[in-house]
Amino acid sequence: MGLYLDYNASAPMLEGSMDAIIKAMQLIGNPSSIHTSGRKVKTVIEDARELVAGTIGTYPQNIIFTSGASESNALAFKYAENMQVITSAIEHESVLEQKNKDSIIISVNNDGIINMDHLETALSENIESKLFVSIMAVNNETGIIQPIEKIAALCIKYNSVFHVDAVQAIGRIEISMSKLNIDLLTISSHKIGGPKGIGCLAVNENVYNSLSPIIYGGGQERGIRAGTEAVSQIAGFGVAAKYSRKFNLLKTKTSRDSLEQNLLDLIPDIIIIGKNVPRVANTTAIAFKNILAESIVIALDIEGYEVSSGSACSSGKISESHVLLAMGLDKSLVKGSIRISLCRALEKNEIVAFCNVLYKIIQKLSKKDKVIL
Amino acid sequence: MKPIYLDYQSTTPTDDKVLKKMMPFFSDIYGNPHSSNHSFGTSASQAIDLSRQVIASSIGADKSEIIFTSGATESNNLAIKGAFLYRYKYQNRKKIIIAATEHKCVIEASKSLTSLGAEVVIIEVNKEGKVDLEKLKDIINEDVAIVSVMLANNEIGVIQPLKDISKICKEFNVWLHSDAAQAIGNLKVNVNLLGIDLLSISSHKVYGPKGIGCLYVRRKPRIRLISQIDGGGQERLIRSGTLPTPLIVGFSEALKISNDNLDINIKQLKIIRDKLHKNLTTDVSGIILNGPSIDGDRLPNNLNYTVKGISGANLTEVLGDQVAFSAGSACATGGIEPSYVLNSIGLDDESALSSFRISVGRNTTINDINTASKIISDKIKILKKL
Repeated sequence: MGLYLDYNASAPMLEGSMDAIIKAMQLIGNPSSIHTSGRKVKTVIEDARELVAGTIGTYPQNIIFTSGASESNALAFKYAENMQVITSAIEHESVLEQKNKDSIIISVNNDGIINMDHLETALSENIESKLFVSIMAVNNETGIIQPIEKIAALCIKYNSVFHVDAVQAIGRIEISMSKLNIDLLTISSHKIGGPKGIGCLAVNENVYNSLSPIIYGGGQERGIRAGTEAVSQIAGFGVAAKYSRKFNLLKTKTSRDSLEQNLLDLIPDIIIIGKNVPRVANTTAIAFKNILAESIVIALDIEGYEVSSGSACSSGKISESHVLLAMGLDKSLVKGSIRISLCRALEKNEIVAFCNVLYKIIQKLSKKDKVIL
Repeated sequence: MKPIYLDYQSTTPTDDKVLKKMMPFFSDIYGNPHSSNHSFGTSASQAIDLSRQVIASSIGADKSEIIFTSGATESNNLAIKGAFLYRYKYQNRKKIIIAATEHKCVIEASKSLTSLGAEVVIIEVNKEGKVDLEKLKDIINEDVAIVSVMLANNEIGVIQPLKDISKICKEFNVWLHSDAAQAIGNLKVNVNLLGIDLLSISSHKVYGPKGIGCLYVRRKPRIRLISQIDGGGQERLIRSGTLPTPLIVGFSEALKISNDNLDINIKQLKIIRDKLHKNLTTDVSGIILNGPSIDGDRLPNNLNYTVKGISGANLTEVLGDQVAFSAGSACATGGIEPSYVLNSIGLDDESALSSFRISVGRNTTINDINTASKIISDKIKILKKL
């Protein structure tokens, strides 16, 4: 037996998305062409745009399709050029790479939640500047949920533009741009069972006029993002966005909680990261004492279980998680942290089997790795 | 009846064999290729590695020289902005030279850099659409960061003398970029024989999926770029973002198919295209071929005509449900501005607006051509009488 438990790195493709992709690929024509073939293809894009917009509580014309979340984040930060950027210490690399020397980095507490006092101070002290706040809704490594509504309220109070990287939030919690007063929102298709290579930046009307492109050209996507649209990817993304509204996560949460409890019973000295704060239902980050996470991941892989240490982008190069370090976790624990993210609710026997395999691995490794550490 | 598709330069249908090759990567092998520890991730990254190899060798490059992007528009943006920003910052080279007939994205990307200190020089072309080499020699010097000249034009199909342009660039150590979106699949392209430093390729112009392309970046001598999308550090830090495995696999299969049969394809395209040309020039009086002569340095799949008194936009629209072809390039359509490409080869606005482009492809049959040319010439005759 084995299980893919790395949903947050990339979700398995939904059948509905797959069907939409294949159908779109069999169409012929460039969506910018005005002949009948071109217009047919254009319809596919506009239908998907409506589905994506509906899922995140905004208007279809506010959706700018991109090649994915990294590009969306870069595009959002293009808007922030010449603005005072305020972001957090636990953002995805594609956001952190954008910061400049003047950017203010808000700390998080031990539970991984944004320090709201620090944020308010930063906003009030820079009230003279044009402000740009970028905070992720849900962290990719821990699944911890940020108080987006409260942050949005502060942004309104201090007249700041608010960008949210919602890549790990969509399909896990409800995210509505209009309800939450978000100006710019990043989402990715392949994290919700859609195809890779497509995502979007949703842009409220109030920021649209000052937005400038990263990729110039034929004027597609309301002049903000040039390039022939990836029609089939967009079609698949649309379907995934629609399905993501209906994910039933109650059962997934029960599975996750029972997996954690099972593990705690077997290995009492593990630390479940963010256990006492709101987390998305499918994710658990677990720190093991005196064991290298890489060794656990590889050993689990041999048994057919796929989990990860840290986020996918930075694995390969073994670096310590900046997220866990920012939460004040001890360095040795950071090195021993893995992320398990469920694609669906698990059966009881699946949970037991996984925990037993992991337990045996930990027993073996704790003898070996102690020497190394 | 489905319209006869004669707009292959705008986009090509995805080959069934390409789609088949992509399928398993959509469903079974769904790992994130950057999760290198577990086996799902590994098979995805192996597939990408193999694809990179296939794509590289199709243009005579090494796999380490291929940067995947979302398509040719992004590749062109990355090449021009990335190279300019590097050379401006470290080598104080501030000029960008582009041909007047470049794709809109090359022109717009270059212009976007003027606010950062770039000086954009647009080099004129002759009546065929070829870059004036003497003029290039006159204006090029050691202030130039990059020259960008497309390998083959999207509207009039002219093939540029890249080899000669490369020689001129090398004298001043100027980097040469070429947009090969229209050339790949219709011409033999080898970056070393042509002396090109940066080359943009699009998948959907060679019967591959939309939303993927690549930029070739020469390693010897080393070309350096400032990245435009940062993040997880994929693609040697030049282009971040999770790689779309199925698209890459499809892209590489498309190039492989196209390369395996290139000589035959080119011959066949020419036969079909020439037949269409013969039909139209026989049936439509006063029809003028724009760009190079039919046997000149012209893509084997391209035709571009002016018929005075006939609006190209109108013609393509009224025939849209019978024959799909276009007035100007796809990106610029919608608007009714005259084509700047046609303007640059000496057509006035009126002539430019009375023009249309027809492009044939691998699936075009002689039957298609005979039917389509009859539909087009009949319609022109009717419109002329009105």
